[in-house]
Amino acid sequence: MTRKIICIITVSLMLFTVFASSVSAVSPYEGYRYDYWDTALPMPNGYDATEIITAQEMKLDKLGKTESTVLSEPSDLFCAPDGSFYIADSGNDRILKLNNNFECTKEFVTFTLKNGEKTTLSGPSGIFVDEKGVMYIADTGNTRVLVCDQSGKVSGELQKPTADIFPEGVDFTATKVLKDQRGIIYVLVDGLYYGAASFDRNYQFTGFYGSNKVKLSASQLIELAWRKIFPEDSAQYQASYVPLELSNICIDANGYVYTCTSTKNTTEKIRKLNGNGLNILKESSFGDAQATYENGVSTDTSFVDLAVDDSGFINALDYTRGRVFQYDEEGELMFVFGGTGDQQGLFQMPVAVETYGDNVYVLDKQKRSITVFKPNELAEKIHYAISLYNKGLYDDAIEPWNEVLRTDTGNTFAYKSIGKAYFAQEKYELAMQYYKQGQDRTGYSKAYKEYRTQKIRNNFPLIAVVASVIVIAVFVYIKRVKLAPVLAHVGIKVKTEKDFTPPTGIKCIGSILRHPIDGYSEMKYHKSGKLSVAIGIVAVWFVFMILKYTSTGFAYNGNKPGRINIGIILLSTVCMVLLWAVANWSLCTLLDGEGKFMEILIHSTYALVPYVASIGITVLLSNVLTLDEGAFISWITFFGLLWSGMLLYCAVMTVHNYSGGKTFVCLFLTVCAMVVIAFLIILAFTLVQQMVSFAVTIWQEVSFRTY
Amino acid sequence: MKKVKVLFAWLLTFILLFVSSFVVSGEPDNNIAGAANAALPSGNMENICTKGDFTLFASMLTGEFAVRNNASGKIWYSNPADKENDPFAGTDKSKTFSLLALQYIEEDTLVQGFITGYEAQENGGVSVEKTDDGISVFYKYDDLRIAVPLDISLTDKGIKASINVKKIHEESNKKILNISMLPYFCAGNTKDDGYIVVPDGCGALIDFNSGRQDFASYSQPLYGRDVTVSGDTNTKQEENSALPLFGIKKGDMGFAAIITKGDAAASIVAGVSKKGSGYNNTYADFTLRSTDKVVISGNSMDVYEQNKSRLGSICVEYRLLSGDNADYTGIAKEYAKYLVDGGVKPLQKDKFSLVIETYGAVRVNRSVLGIPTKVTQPLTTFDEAGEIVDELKQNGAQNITLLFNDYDKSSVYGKLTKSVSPLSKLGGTGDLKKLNERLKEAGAALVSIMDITTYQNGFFKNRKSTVGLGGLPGVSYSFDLGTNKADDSIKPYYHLAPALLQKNAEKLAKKFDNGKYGALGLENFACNIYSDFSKSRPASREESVKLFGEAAKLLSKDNDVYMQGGASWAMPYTDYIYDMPSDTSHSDIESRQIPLYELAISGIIPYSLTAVNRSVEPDVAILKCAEYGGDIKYDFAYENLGVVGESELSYLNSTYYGQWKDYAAQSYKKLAEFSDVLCGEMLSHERVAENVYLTTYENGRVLVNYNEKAVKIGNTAVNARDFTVSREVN
Repeated sequence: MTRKIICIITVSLMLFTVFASSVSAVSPYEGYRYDYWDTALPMPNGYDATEIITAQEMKLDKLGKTESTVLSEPSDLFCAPDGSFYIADSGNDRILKLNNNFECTKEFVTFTLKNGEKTTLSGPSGIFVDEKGVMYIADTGNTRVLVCDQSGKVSGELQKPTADIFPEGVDFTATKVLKDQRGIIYVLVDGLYYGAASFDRNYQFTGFYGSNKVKLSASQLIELAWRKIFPEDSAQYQASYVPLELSNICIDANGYVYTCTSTKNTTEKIRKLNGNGLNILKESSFGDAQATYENGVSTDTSFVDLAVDDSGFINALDYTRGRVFQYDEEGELMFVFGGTGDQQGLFQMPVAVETYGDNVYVLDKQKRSITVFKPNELAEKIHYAISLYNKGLYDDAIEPWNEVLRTDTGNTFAYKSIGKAYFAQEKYELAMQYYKQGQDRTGYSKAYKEYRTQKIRNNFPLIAVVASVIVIAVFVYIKRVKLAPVLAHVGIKVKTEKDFTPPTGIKCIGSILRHPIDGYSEMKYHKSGKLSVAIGIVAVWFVFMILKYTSTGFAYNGNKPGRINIGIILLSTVCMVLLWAVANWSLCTLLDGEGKFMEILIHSTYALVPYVASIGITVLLSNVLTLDEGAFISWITFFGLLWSGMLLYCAVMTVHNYSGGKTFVCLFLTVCAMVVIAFLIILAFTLVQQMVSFAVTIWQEVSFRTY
Repeated sequence: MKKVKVLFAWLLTFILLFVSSFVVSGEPDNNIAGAANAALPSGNMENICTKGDFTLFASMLTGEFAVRNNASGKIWYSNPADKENDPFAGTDKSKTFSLLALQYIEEDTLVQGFITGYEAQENGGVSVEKTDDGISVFYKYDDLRIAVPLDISLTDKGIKASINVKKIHEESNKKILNISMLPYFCAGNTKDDGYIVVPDGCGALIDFNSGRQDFASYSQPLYGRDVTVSGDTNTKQEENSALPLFGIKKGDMGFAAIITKGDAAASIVAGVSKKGSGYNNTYADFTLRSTDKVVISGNSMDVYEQNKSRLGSICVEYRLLSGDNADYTGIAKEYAKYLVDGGVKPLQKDKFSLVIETYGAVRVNRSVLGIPTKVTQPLTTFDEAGEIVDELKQNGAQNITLLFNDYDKSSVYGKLTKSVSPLSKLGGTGDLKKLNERLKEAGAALVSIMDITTYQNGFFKNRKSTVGLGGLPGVSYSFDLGTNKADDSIKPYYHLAPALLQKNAEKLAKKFDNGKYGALGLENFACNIYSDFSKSRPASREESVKLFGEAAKLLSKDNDVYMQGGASWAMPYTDYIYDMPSDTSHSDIESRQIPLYELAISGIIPYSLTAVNRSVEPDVAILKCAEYGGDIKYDFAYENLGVVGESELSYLNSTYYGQWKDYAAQSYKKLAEFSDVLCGEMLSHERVAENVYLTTYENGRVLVNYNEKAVKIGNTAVNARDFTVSREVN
């Protein structure tokens, strides 16, 4: 509910205007990337749909024997190492082999078993072919995997393992199949949640490979606890703990196995597994950053297939929105292309993606066609620059990156990479600038560290002089009473006699900081706390919070520039203080507190001074410290908070004249009261909001009906 | 002497034989074509009338008709002659027998139905009458209580089909939504060789029998999708159709169809064989009533226009082509003739221009002293724009046209533009006038761009906006690229009610007189036509075209008007078209793109294509200028904002002038060398090899090779991704 309120405030406070972007050449889909804040920003397209291959282009009518000149529910596409393509034409129970011009050269309908018997397929949905031309067919309908050569001779038939660890209730409905360089065969089975069933060279079941990690959310933990208490209910909860089902599996030139899952709202949708089945990708979030819901159903990215090209770029196919997400070998998003619709490059039911050379191929089950995507000049340049970058040739990459930036001005990767090159060239200031545009905070901090060292070294005499002057001045100020005669010589008069009038207003702060209890008692006794000072402190807090958002040094500042929400800051400062005072006052009147509302307000606010000061100091320091020195900032913040907390304790104790223990109880109850009050306010707010929306709906209905 | 007589007699006999055989020979020829016997159309048709070369035959039972070219003997059928024996007859079978098809909605249940002329024929609901120049077919659907009159008349170029919408009877609760006219006119069967021409963007071809029957049929409204109806939901990225023109090439005959009435309400539809029927066809589909979905308290509801259709009448002119004319060049040129006959004066293009569009300023969120504020960020001041022109000139560019965009206060602030108020941050009115003088001296031209219909802000934004079918302002949203959901962080765009346009145009025309700010550029004006369903000042798309046209007329009275992506209705008031589409929407069914638009407009209105630096392949975009005969255009901002992370600046992607200036001047010089050829009228265009195109201009021919390797066509070699020009014209 709080979120709702925040949303309303955000919307009402947002005053952004954006101007119509000019009409440029239209392609059926618009490329985009996610920025540091997970906002989708447009970027020029990297891949263009250049060809569409239907049954007519495949020349299925020239096969002669076959009756079926069309594809029927094609469900898998595989590109063999020699550049020929295989289609699992599920509806027609056959495998089609196409040459690299996509002309069908062969169809596989019947196969000869070892014993000489003929066998046919039933809804094959996965095909893999190794470099020798041996086909591995996931014969889904017949719950088996066929291993056969190009003449249709079956050399092996994988069936449901008899091993105990293979769950009994699950049929061996193989959907996808893969063979790695060691000869191990991986089979994805519908309804099997333990990863891929793996078989050795002799077609013997050896176990499971690459199951997804199970992550338990808070609600699941509660469920788990519930199950412990009431074990008889356990059956109905079981489903939520099973690992995610893998949707597809593929292998790259180096023998790494990649898996994807079509499960929505999960991390690690794509994994790159080493020999032990462990994920070695750094990135963990893939697909679209924002999950949305339509009629209560998640419309998050759901990957159904992936293909890794020779340079290590990962192409993953999203079924939900018909897009291909291309990642580099580290898992950083490069391009997004495709979509849903009736235009070339858009899909209805995309089921398989493949790569060969630089091209990307997507098979659509409903459109019954293959779409060929070719990288354009921009994508080629970016790929080239990345290959240089990955080899560590940062200098050589500057030129291609600059060319990329001419067209794709927002390419953060380019900025980052150029930043690295300038860092290596010891052009730290330039490096900082590029790192900043590349949103690389670590890189920026490193460059800044060198830059700072350089600056200090170059200006050492000046810095030394300024520092010693400051040290002397502070020393003189502290010892001003003792040094009064000396100072009198240079014409500075120092008040030496003690001032006995109690401090008022702003001067109270000093005494409170030094002797909290005495300070507060005195302030209460003399009523010397001023509302104006309290307002001033809160105002400074408010301003510092804004500065914290906008002016914290780049290395420490993950906020989106210019997107500050004053309302939230107002809520977390001014309103918080008022809420505190109200809660404390209403509570303490019941608990025999002596404090009046104004006193509570003023005294509590005075307690904020150390915390507010710590904010100011950290903002300043964040501009001169590197990320390595971040501990300073944390310590200062912690110290400020602790001090303020202590002062608040003293303030409450003195203002109500409580004992130490009672003060603790009072503080705790005040916090509870604050929660209750906040809850009531939100409740009222929601009610009003619903009333308003009800009125709006009525107005809409009426105006619609009378139309 | 006797010998001579005998010789003469022989000669006479020969001549007689020859002539008679010639007369008879029409028959077998047509039999080979497989369609008709004798020079008479197949089926039970009467001779109705003759005009020029054409004779109209029609069946007095069904209204089906055929037109014969008396010179060549070729016959164009309203419905396929072999439709009875169509092996692929499916869902569209009844349509192949019909001259029209209707889509209707039941008022109470909102159930939509579909009916064709065939059903009326079956129930004896068709009556055919002869008229002066053709026939009138009257369809009566007794069960629906709907009656529709269709007039077919012969012209000296072909035929004309029209329906007076006012004469349609709808007596029950069933209302007509759409009318498809002559859905299978001149359709090609599975053996025919040919293609369909549709006006998608620059124009597209759909090959007959392309095997793309699994894909959706082509269907696109003319003059853009109606933002009042679909602005809140439509995320489709597509080019608009700017010409009311479509056609077919079938063997050595074909037609060019021009929608002369009701074009703003029309969509062009096309389909290939084996999808519902065995024919490749194209036709115009007219929307009589719009439908939309309205969301009320979370529930989506179908709504439709309930009143009587505001459409006056609809008319499609079919100009019949044969021989060499029967191709897409012929179809395009037919439209050029239609434009000139209709009073559009051809403008001579005498120089090849470099068109530069600069962006003045943008409003951005910035924190000033820690306080978040919106500030106006200059991108190109008037002085800097002058500098750009000077610099480009020094580098060898000539004939520069400077389109200045986003310089006006209201447009930068997202408000409705009613007058000219150049931002003081850019130099104010004074500097703009100075820039105009400066450019004049430099031999360049200034064009001040205005968007006078869309806006985001303003106190009365709802009152001036169009109203959708649900009674709410007809806004269009920006969509999140990732989720395809409306993006709340960007204010929606409102569209000025067409009825209020005239008043605004008057105000603007007064401010703009004497060309002190150069010529007037109209952005987003001739691209999209929208309707307004408000109660007080409704406007159908057709009426909207009229109102927009009047506003354009007013503005063009004292100013040269530069239109962005000019639609056909705006052409009488257009002096120059910029951002002319050079691409299509890439619908699945389309086989390839053609310069239909360019062929039709070339020699009548000069134009530039979309900006080179907006393309991911600028080198290719330059080749396109040579192929499509357009001036070369660049979009520039003088300032480099390093647009990272700010979505409101993403439109500045790839526009930083500093990075493009050398490239721009060089590309201009490369093309301007052939200025004499490229400025001439584009006479024809053809594909000579894969990715190699030949464009014939008045004064020369351009061969463009898009391949990544060199090719040789005849004796001409063309380098990879390059073009050659020859000044000979055969």
